[in-house]
Amino acid sequence: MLLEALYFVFFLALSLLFYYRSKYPLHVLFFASLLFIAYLQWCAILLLLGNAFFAFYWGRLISTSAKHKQVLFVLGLSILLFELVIFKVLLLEDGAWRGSATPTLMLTLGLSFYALQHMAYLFDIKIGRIKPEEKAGYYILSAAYFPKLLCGPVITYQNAKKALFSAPIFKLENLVSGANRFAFGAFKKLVLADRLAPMSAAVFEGSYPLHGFTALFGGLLFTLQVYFDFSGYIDMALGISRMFGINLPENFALPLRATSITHFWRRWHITLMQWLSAYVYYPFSYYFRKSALWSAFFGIVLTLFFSAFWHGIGLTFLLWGVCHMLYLSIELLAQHRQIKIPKALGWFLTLVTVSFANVFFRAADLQVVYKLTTDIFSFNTFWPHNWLAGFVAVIGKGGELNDLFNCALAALLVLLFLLFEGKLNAKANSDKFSVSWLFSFLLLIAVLGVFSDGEQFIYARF
Amino acid sequence: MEHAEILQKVGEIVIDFFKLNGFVCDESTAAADISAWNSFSHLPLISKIEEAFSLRFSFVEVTDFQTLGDIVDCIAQKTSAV
Repeated sequence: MLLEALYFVFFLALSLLFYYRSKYPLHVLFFASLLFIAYLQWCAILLLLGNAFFAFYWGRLISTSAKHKQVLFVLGLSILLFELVIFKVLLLEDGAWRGSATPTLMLTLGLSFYALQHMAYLFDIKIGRIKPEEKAGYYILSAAYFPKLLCGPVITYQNAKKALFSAPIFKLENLVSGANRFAFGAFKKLVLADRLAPMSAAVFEGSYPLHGFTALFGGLLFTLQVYFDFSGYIDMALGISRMFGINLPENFALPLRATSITHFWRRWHITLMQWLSAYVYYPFSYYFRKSALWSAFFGIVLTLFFSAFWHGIGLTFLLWGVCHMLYLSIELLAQHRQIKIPKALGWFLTLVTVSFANVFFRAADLQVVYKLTTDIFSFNTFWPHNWLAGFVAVIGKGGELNDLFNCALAALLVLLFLLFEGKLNAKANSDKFSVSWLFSFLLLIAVLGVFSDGEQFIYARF
Repeated sequence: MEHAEILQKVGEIVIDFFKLNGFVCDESTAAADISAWNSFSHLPLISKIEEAFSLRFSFVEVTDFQTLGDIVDCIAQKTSAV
């Protein structure tokens, strides 16, 4: 882990040096991106290049066709979707979601993310919103750009073009503020997410039955873990990009403070939701726009169905999507009837319902789902009679001293972080030179970080 | 139809649709200014505007609208072309 981190810092420093010194900075980014993928798994390059060339030439084909735009678009989209299905099925068979990296998983590095870019590209060309790119290299770079490759943010080609293809201007504040943001993200991942990981694993992979509260709390622990893990990655991706003078879009806006599910989806994985809204929800709802309720309802169903499929093939993901479909539909009806609830209650309900849905998202299979939901809905045993044995010992993996210490430390750090998250985010996004910030976070990571081998970003598995 | 006239009519539809008593719409009014104007309400609102002006917006137009000014410009373009 440490050695890999050192390799990466060395790679990043060299890439930055060549990027700012070279007459051909985009070539530097291109080769740095390919090198990055090759280091992780060289054959993933073939898949990435194959996909990018396909989208590039298919886009041109759609654009030049006078009569068969629709047919070509549907065909191109079907090919991309079919490929996504094939690899999702392979991932399912590998059990990659639970285990460590497997050959199939490594091969599909970033596939889910760049596949969305290719689909959007073909759609935008088909409806005439954009013209096809003329240079294949530009298009491939937009898909392969290494900071966003593994877990996003999801961007469309026109956004990538705006962000990537302007002449680089070296600014020291970009370098420093980028490093600040990177350290902030690394802290979220290595300290918060990785300390929460064994706690949520204890609930989802431990012995059953549990008290309902403990099972539901497991959903909350996973919600927190995935938030710090994914937003930590995004902070690092945005930080690295900032060092190159490239601004990628934000992906989170304090989602754990959302007071409704609608608000939650406006603040969580923002770029995916924008993509789904632009390329699934609107195209479908456009034709049913005369009926406010039905267009929204069918739009929600289709969007969340696609979102569930994008996360993985399997009933657990589908049930997670169904949960959110129900939540949003109920909210839509409440909005329609102008029913309002106090914000504090809205916040509480949002956190509980999102955590409940995440039980399906995290569970390894339907057996685990069945056991945990049975526990949650067993009202007689919902509250633990003995909190130490029925709650603390469970999330502390049996109650060993170092595990309990991890629980207490994680709880303290997470609470403190969430309390000051708004201010910390503002500081992490600041352009001001702050050596103390950078070193504080590096010190916190060094002292409190979890440096275990094989830990991955959760969203790299999609 | 005059530009100002279109803006007034569109503004009235928006105020009526979202039940915004006392709200003043201008060309810069955007979804961010009206909390109920979200992905769910955008298309039905557009449908009301289409009905009121007896015209049809394309998918690209509908998804590219950022402000009331954009909608008004598009209507002005469509009605002057008739």
